[in-house]
Parts: sequence; structure tokens; C-alpha cells
Amino acid sequence: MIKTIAERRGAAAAFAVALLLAAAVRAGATPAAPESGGRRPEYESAQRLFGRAGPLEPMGEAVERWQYDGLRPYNSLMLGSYARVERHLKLGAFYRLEHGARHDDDFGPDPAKHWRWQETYGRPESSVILDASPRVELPFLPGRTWVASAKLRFEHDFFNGENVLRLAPELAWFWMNGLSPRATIFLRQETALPLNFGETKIWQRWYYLAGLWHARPWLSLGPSVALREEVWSTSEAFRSTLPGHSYQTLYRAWVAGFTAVARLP
Amino acid sequence: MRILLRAAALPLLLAVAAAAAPKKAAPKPAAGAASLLYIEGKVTVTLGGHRKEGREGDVLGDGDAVATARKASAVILMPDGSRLKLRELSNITLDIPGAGGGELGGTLTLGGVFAKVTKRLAGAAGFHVRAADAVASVRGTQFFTAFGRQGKKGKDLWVCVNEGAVDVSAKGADKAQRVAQGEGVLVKSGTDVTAPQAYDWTKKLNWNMDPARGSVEDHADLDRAYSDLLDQDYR
Repeated sequence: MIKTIAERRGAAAAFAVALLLAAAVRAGATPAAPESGGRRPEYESAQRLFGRAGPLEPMGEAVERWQYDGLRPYNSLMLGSYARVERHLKLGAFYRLEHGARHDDDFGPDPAKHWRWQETYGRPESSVILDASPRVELPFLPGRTWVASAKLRFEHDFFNGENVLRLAPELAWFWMNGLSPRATIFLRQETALPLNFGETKIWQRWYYLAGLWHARPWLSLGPSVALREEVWSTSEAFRSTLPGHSYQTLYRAWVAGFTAVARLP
Repeated sequence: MRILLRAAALPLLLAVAAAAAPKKAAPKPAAGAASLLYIEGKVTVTLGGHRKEGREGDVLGDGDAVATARKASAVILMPDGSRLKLRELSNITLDIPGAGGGELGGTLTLGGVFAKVTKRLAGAAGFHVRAADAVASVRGTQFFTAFGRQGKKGKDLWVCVNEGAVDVSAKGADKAQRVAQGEGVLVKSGTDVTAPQAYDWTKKLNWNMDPARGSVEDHADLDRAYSDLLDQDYR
């Protein structure tokens, strides 16, 4: 009987040790790569205000997005101006302040040693953005009022020094009311190339389908839907914890959005 | 409110309704004749087939024409007190019927013209402004007619209403489109009438025809009405 009790006590101790080990593993002794999580729904709202001053076209933009696991908030405010340097080309320069942006190095252990994405909503980031947008009409297509464009943007994030080059070819069709657009439908593909970070050649891909109803000469409103793909590469914390190991995780999401564009006379 | 339909054989017909009476009695020229009330810049008149530089007070008869050069404008006082104001680079030939009756008016062959037409009694002859294959027949209103860009089948034509209302019909159209006060339509290539709408650029039209109240010159840029699809930014 005594032996039996001792045996039972030993088994219990062994079980407790096993539990502690498992907890330790879960707690971060063995870091895990972030989960892709499949195609999750995200939501976005964008408001833009355009002005006009000769060849300059000042723009202010506010974007809110609820993204990633738990629909974490993100918002940004961008200010700057386009300049129409030629009928088919606009150049732009902008400053952007954002909260809630996610970078590869935001994945790491929290104080409880749980490996997870850090909350970044409280972290402001400033970026400078240079834009070049060539456009051309395609009147030979059925419907005639087609415009093909490409938006090229260089972004420098002062928070971590990351540079991104975005390439966004777009095809737009304008439904006209006389000589003014009544509505516009857009198809756009955007590729973000990481110039000095990450372990892949492409960081993000967006596939957009969007519409705008030109409710007033100064106001356009419309929904959008986008498939968003983002590659997360090995974070600094992961690399230092497990030298020689790496990961590249593909995250995908459907983004439902709504855009309002106002123009000052 | 009676719609006066006229020139039914023409491909396009603009009819103006909802008369608006002038606020004060307008001066009238000699009976049966029009006159050049006011000019700015270089204005040419063709009187009885003879062309000369226009002068304020020139008397104009049926078939006489008035043309404006660049940065010029002219206000014509019609026999009934109605006024026509020519924009720059415009040309109009006047229709001033004799005692036999008929409508007063003019035929615009170039540029744009503002018309401020005195209210007419029921049964009285109307007032018209023809432009290519179009004609606006009115009984008392204020409107603007001008040629726009050259289309594949002819020049576009703008009709904008400041007072009253206009019914616009095109060749082959089942029914007329009513253009209300503050709205405008474009007759694309002289045949296709767009839906009436308020155009921002029309707010910059200078409807004043009285030099005593300020400049009569109109600087509105009609080309601004044409949306530039390469300038449609949304992000």
C-alpha cells in the first residue's frame, strides 16, 4: 500500500513536470512562426479631399482599416499634392502619419513569453511618399471611355527605415452622363516590393475591384473589394532565438471597403 | 407656359416655356429695327451686305449680322426690347420680320449668345435663336446658346437656362427633354441630347446685359464643361 502511494506520488510528479515543460514550450521556449489564418475578412474606409490650385492638386487622405487577426485597428492620415506636369503624367509628394502598421519585426514574444504579433496601434509612424502616375485614354475599346494608368509610389518609413516601391496598374471605365462621368469602375492590381527588408521579392499584392458613383460634381462615393496578400518574413526576435531558422508566411484577406472622395471647387 | 414648337422639320428643336418677365421696362430702338446697344472690343457689323466696324447706336435690320473679335462682346437691342449678347468670337445674323409678322430672333453661326427675351402675350409671335440644326423658340426667358467642341458629325451645342424652362428634342427622339432653370443640356454633334443637369461651369456665365450694372463681357470657359478623363483622381 505504501509502495503504491509512493508510485502514485512519483507519477504525479512526473505529470507535473510534463505539464511545466509543455507550458514552457507554449510560453516561448520554442518560437513558432505566425499563422497565415486563411482568407479573413477585413474592412476599410477611405476619405479623400482634393483641391485645385493651377497645376497643383492638393490631397488629404484619411484611411481606417480593421485588419489581421482580431480586426486590429489601423489608421493613416496623408497630406500632400499632385502636380500635373504633362497631360498624361502627374507627380506627387506626400507625408503620411499612421498607427497600427505591421512590420516583420513586430512578431515576437510578449512579457509572458507568448509569441504573437505586437499591438502597434499606439505607435505612430511617419513616411514620405513620392508618386508618379502616368495615364492614357483607350478610346478604341468598346465603351470608348477607358483609361489605363499606373501608379508608382516610393515610400520611406522613418520609423524603421524600410523602403517600399508600389506598382499599381489600373484599368478604369467611365460611365458618362453627357460629358461628365456618372460612375467609374476600376480594376487594379498593386504590388509592393520591399527594397531593403524581408526575405521575398514581393511583400504585398492587392487585387482591387472598385466603383465610384459621382453623386455630385464635388462628391464621389463607392464600394470596393480587394484580395490582399502579404508575406511575413522572419522577425529579428525569431532569428535571434532560433539562429539558422526562418519562415515566410503568406497572409491573405478579403478587404471590403468604402471610399468617399470630395473635391473643392 | 405654352410650348411653342417651331421649325418642326429641323432635326432638333428647343422650346422654351415658363416665362419670366423682365424686372423693368427695357429701352426700345426705333420701331421695326434693332440696334447695337453696347460694344466692347472689336465688333463688325454687316449692314445690307456691307461690312463695317460696329458702333454703338448702329441700326440693324433683317439679315444684318454682328460679329465679335477675340476679347470682344456686343449687346444687341431687339425691336421688342429683348436683348442678345454675343460672346467673343461669335457671329449672329438677325431675323427681324417686317409688318407681315413672324418671329424675331437670330441665327448663330459661330461662338455663343445670351438671350434675354421679353415676356410675350399669349398668341404673340415668339423669339428664336437658331444654331446650325437647332432652334430655341421662346416667349420670355433668359438662356444661353453656344457651340462647343467639334464632334464627329458636327459641332456640339450648349443650351443653358437662367430663367424659365426649355424643352429640347432631337432628331429621332420620342419626346422632348425639359431643361429647368439652372440646368443645361449638350446637343452632341447636333443630334444627341444629354440629360439636363446643373453644370458647374455655367455658374460662371455672365448673364448681365446692362453695361450700367457692370461688365457684360463673358469669360466662362466652355471647354471646362468637357471632363478630362485623364484628370479624374480619386486616390
